[in-house]
Amino acid sequence: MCGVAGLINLDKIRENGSRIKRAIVLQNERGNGLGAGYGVYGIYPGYEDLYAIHIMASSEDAVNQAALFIRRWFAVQKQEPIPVWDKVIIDHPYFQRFFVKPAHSSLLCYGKQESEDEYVLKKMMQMNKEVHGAYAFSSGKDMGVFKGVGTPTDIYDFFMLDNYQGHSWLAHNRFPTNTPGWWGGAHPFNALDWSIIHNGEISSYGINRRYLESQGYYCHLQTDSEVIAYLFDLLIRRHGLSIREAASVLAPPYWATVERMADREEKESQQLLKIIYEQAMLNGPFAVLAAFSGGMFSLTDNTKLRPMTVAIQDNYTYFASEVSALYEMQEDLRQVVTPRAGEPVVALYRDNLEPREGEVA
Amino acid sequence: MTAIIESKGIDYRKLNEMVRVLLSQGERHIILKGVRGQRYIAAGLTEGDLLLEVEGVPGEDLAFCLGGPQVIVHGHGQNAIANTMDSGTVVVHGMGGDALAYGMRGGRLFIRDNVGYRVGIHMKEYREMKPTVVIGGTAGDFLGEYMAGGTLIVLNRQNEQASVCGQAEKTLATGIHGGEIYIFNYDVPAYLPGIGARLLSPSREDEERVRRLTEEYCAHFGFDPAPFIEREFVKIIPSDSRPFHKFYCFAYPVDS
Amino acid sequence: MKIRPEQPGLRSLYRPVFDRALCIGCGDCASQCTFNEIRLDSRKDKKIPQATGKTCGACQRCAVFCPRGAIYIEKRPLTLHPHAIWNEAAVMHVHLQSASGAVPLTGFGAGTTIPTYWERILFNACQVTNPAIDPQREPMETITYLGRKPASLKKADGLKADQLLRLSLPLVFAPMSYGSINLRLQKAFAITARKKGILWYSGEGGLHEELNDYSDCAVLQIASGRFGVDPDYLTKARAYQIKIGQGAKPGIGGHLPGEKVLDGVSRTRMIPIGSDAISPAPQHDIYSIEDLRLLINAVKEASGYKPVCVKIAAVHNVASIATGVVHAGADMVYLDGYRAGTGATPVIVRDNVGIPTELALAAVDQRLRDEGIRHKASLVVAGGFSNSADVMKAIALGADAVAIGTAFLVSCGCYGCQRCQSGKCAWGLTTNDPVISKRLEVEWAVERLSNLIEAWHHEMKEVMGLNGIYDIGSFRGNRLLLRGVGLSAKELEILGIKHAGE
Repeated sequence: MCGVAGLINLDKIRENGSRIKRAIVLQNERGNGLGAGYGVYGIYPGYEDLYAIHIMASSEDAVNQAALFIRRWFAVQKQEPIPVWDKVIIDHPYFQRFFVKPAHSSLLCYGKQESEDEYVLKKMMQMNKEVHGAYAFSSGKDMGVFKGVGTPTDIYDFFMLDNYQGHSWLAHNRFPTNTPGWWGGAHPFNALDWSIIHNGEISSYGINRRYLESQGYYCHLQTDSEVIAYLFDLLIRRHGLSIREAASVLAPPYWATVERMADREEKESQQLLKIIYEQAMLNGPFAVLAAFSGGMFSLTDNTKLRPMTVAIQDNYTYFASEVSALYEMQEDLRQVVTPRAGEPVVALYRDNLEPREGEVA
Repeated sequence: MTAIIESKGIDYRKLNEMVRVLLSQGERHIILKGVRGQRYIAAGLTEGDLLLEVEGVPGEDLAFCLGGPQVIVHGHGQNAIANTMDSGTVVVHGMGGDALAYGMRGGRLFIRDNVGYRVGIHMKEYREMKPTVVIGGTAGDFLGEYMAGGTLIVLNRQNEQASVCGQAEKTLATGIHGGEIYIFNYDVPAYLPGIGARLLSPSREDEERVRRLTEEYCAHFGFDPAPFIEREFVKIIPSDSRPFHKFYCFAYPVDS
Repeated sequence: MKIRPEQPGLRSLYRPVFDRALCIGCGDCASQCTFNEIRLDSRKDKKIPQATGKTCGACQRCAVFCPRGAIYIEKRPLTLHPHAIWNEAAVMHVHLQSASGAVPLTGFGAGTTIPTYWERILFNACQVTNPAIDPQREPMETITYLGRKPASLKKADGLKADQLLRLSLPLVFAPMSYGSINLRLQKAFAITARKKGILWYSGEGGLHEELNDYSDCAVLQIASGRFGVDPDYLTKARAYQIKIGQGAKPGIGGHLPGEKVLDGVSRTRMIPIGSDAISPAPQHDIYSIEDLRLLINAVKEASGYKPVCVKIAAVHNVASIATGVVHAGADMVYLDGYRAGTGATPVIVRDNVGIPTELALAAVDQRLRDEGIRHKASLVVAGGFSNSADVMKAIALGADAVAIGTAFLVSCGCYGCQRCQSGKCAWGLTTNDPVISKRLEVEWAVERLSNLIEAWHHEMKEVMGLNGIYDIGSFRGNRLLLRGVGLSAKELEILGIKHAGE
């Protein structure tokens, strides 16, 4: 089931989460109280160049183990507990965050200078594998994921999200299909600056996961949605695909449609994408909202089995599973758009220096 | 006498209960103001003389199993409007979502603007019960899938030249085995109709019937019917009553 | 007086039984039987058939062709004390060898009681959390591309989709050499492959000139006997297959008994009529893995860089061998498992050598992924597929495509009498005898094969649809779709699947 909502200001004007909270709470029927989460960008002014690692841990000991790991591989500028309001949820994991940069000497990997992003990703995968009881659930710059077991209201209040100012917000209300609710299994799922929320179920999960694992991504969250975050990181950051190309990998056009393409170059490119990235294709109903450092976009499966609606007003773009939730974010909406199956609706920040494929519907 | 409910912030269960209470008190004109996302409005109502007006955006499954009343939405609709609807009239002054009129068995649904995917799946008719859906704009893939009866009209009032009734191959009216679909002012590409679907030109009787329904649509939304009905339209019906009989054979002999 | 019973234990195991009430004495049964099992007694103007009890192999030809359905085949009992080792097959085998001092040959694939894994693996289906897709009404695609693929778009290096081998569905015709089978049958395979948008593999018998028109959907084989491999052969195919081994006889070369080397075979293979066509066990220019690279590159140079497939039998170290084959430059690896069929192989080899296809496939697919080279070669698997569910299970384990051999023979009349090597196939399938081979009508065979592929295609789409999958690419390698039943922990581990209930 699940409900999604997203909000982005293209000029990076920031606000707290009250509007997104209203939108996700209105869609309460879409969840079952077993998971909710938020992804927010622009929340750590003064620390924009540092990776903000959010950890959840089952014990203080696990927190310490995680801290040891992080201090070994990173230069830590600040470590502190993530502020939470205990009264809202009494039984909860420990939360810590670290503002870090890769330790310079470790970046040289077998004589090859690794990119910082690749280094951070690898270390987060390694930490999640090796340090038991602790899990890094967010590791991008100037952004953070806040999620857990509870309703959207519970999680919002628990993390006191009124105190954060972000220029883009994702919100998710979970109705888990395959696994019992647990704190790590809530959405958004994160890889570096990618956060994704997902409504649906991935029938291709078995092969998506095997493909990602052969590419060095460790999938351990017992939730199919996890693969989407890693797929975007792989396709866009590592392989250099544009958003549109990555979207057509995850939600590819049918072979029959490709056959009919008139533009020969586009046709050949599309054929290659389908052939090369067969294992990255998602089958099954899905509506995905993805946020990253350059903006936000929505994508649905190519038969549009899960809902997604979009509204654009002034310099805001709003996303939600239901039209009514869009109005919760902006009362006087003039234009509501229903995206097409398999086509991304992309909203990019105006200062995005490398607009890979800008299209605002 | 008109009863008004300020619906903002009211949980759908409470809201629908309030409507039922008003009905039991004899109210037959009810306006819900400030509706935003409440589900199942008008679900299962059978008071044929009821006029229910919804201001705002009603949530999923509006008019589910509706049995008689008239429901008017002043705003956009969401998904699953007129799901398994039995009789009555639903009018939406805006767009509709996905999976509208699923299993609809009677009554009328009018959507002013575009609708989404999987509209009119398995509509069915029996004797005098014939469901009708009129869409003012365009529709997505799987329009009329498994259709078994009734009438579905896509008016295409903006005169779009592409994606009027779906995009993906063989998804239009796929599996149709009863009923009829009319598409206005659009050259339906050959790859679009699904298994069992056949395109043909409408007959005189068809034109008559479609004209009346179009006029009814225009009356609801205050449009002039003339520019609508002077355009061409095409008809889609089943090509065969059993398009799948060659797919299967009996595993054990049944006849000598 | 010496008692020397004639060929003890070497009588036939089956016998045709004639319903005298239905028999009209037409004598067709005797003329249909190519093994001289049926004798006709003339009585009045009727020809009364009698079983001789000498050679019936249950090929069903007489029974199927009897105009009155008056014949059925019966197993002739050889009643022995129940014994775990000395059963009928064991006793017969010893008698055969005692009589001849020779190695018994057979055809077909291994029928032993080694467990078949396909039967103990079940599929998932969608319920509530994910909608099933209706394959008859909703879009469903099975298009498959075989060949070497780049790891990312950036590394595509100008690759075009039409350089790869495109299949409409992930099935191909397994290699059966001209000589082991009737030219007409091979022609039917070629025609059907073209018609269905898939490939046919030629096997090691070379390419008869009648099939030149079908070389563009053919994978021509280069086996150790190098039959028919001339410069022209090396340019006309869609792709080439280097045969290292086959599942029915791993480690043994090809064997076409002289009885089957008749005119056309002799010409195509360039060997004398009546001579045994033996292909050596190893390719004598490949004694180690680096030699394989030599041959692959030689073929590519001579063919204009066409894709090269390497066929190996599934043996114990198959995962490492397959890795080596991929590193040597193969664009496709063809894995032939334990139950694969053949026209001629020693019984002892067929039944005791090699490992099951299922396990080999799972191990190879996983190893190639672990090594990061799964994209460099497509996996085509063969050996013991009798229905479309087996095929889909193989795809879910990781196969790119499945090669079918025996099922296509069965489609055209084979009932598994396992006497292919005799050249007397009553159905005209595995014989090139000028008279008997005419029994196989090409058009009829094409219809049968097309129907079978069509039916399997629908079934495959049903299995995809009920798993909520519309594109075969999301089914391929998706082991979460499978569960084992009654498999040991180790078997589950090797197959990479969970047990039902998990």
